[in-house]
Amino acid sequence: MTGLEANKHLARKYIQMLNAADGDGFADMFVEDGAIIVQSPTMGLHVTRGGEAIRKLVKHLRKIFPETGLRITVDEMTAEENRVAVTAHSDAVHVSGKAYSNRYHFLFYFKDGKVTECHEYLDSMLVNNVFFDGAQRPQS
Amino acid sequence: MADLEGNKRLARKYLELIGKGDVDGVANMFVENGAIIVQSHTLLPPEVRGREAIRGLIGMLPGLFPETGLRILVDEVTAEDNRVSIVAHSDAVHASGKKYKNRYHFLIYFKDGKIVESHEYLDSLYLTNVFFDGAQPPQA
Repeated sequence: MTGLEANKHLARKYIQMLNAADGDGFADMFVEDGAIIVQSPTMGLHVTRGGEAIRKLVKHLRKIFPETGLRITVDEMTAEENRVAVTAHSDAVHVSGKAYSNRYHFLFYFKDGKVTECHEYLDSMLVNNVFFDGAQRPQS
Repeated sequence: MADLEGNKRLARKYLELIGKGDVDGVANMFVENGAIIVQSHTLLPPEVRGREAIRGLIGMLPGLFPETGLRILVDEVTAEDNRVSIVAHSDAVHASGKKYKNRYHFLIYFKDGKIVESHEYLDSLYLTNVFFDGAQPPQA
């Protein structure tokens, strides 16, 4: 397996672990001070850095999507050097009963088989409506 | 074999021409039936297909950003096969006087030196606040 194929394999595994809300397995995919950076900030966290914070975030998904998990499906992967861009969509049911069908474009950075950062681009208005009933943070 | 560097150059040119509001320049970069697909849903049309429709969309930009244009700066470019993924951010001023600093992750598909589809992932909540004072499309 080439470096690019290995990184793609890791990116798919990341999505699988996210779907399973496997906090320990997921956190172990990152370097020690690795981070999830949501580039479309809503009322949720913008940067989640470090193994313990990542573990807590992912375990929390079980409560948010008790019926389905986050259920993200990969659509396309584009890889070069230490990066993999992944387009994907979710088909989940939020704890409120609302459908959560978001569309994502992740950009992963890898180093020596570990995720250093995962940047997430998603439909923030959908997140806001499903998770927070449309309530927003004060605008700067 | 795909011309990765050529496609990257075209992807950068595409964003430069959007920044200039160059209606014909942008439209001519697409195949006849090419499309701009905004994957983060707002009151903007989610899909604009065909050169004439693209011309109409880009023609709106100078009115929306009279002072600065939609200045988009490229942060990272990742290419494979017929695809280029671009992480970028805007640094513009909307006609209302509000700053417009969005974050983007494009996935652009090329064929024979032309854009087939450009998929845009952006902060829809932020766009909605700046462009539409928070007004949203009807929820499904």
